[in-house]
Amino acid sequence: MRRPERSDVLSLLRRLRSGPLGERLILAGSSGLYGVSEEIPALTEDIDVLIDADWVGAEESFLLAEMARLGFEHQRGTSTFELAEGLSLDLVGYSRLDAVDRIGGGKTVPVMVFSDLSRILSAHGSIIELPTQGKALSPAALAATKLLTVRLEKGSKDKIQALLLIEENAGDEDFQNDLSRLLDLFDPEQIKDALSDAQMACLAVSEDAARADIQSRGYADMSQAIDQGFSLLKQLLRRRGSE
Amino acid sequence: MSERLLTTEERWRRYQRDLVAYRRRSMVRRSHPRFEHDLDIAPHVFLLRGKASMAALQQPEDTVLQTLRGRAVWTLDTAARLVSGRGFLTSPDLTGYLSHADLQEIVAQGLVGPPRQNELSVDPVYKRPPMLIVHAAEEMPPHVELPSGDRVVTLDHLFQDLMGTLGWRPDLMTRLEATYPAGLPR
Repeated sequence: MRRPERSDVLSLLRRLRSGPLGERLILAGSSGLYGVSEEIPALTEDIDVLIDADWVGAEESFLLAEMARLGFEHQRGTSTFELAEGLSLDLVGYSRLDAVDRIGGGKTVPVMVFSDLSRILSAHGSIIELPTQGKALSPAALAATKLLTVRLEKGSKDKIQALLLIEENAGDEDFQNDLSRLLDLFDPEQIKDALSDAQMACLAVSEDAARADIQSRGYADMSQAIDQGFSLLKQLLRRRGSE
Repeated sequence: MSERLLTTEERWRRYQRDLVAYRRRSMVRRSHPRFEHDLDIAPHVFLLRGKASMAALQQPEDTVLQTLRGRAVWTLDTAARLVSGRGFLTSPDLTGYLSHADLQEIVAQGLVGPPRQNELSVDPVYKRPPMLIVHAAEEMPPHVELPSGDRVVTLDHLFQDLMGTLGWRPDLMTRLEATYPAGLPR
């Protein structure tokens, strides 16, 4: 398996878009950053695409045949497909029928279904068509998923990427309105946990920024951008609370 | 050696384990009465690379304090000591915001040694001579002037510096809040 480059991901998405799965696969996760940001590091070795897990359950044979036609080899017992050239694509599930965490999909391609993704994808405007072709989570939807996701082994990565996305879109009122609307879909206590996680991510990076050596000045700039993203997130939540 | 891919079932079990641990961590954070209040604090990295430096004191602390009165804005341990008579760190350093020109001037006057940008810490795990630890700033952070003429950051900014330097320390924040005189603006 090899780490994908931006061009790999966008080219693969374009290829998928031209076939019958193109309508159904939505670039997301850390690889989703390739679709919506030129600057924020994706820091990932695989490509995550969202898919309606209920559709996978109903059309599993078609999915397997189509992925095979595109050159993907399915990995048994997983929702992972690999290309001979080393790129790995993970299917991540959402559902339009419910909003609970569960295993969905089919017998051959079981897919984890996440309640937060199901809620976010049910909201208007969460999916965009990329100029390079292919579907992806909108910047606000991607930021919301990264703020809410729970992946302890990944440390602060998701939160850092979310805060950088918020900072990068600081001047975009549509982004802020969309993010606010998406966070409104969740319980206020869950949002407090997400804010607390984001704050902890700022602290983690601030330690790096203070200890970075002269060759690692990029940490200082990134730490400031992350702090700025956190301040913007607080403002957005305060505004939301006062409405 | 290639790592075996986890099956969806295995990933699911790992996710469930993460959720349990996450809930436990959340409960620990929420168990402190300051949790909600302190969510509002945006950490400020006082020891930011490129902005922060430290120089060994060459004169007694009081002399340096007096020379920089009205020019430096003190924060962290120094602010706490000036405001309440009690600090929270063991290393007898001076920590504050200062313009680059003022720093150069006191180096030239021999009040402090040459500034350095490595091994920066307000809480060193080894014994070292007292330092002046400076965050270079042309525009000073929000501050208040004490009757002595010394300037210290506001309590809100002190919390930002504290969090960006030592992490979330609800124990220190509670103590500082109790000892910062009520008459001082936050």
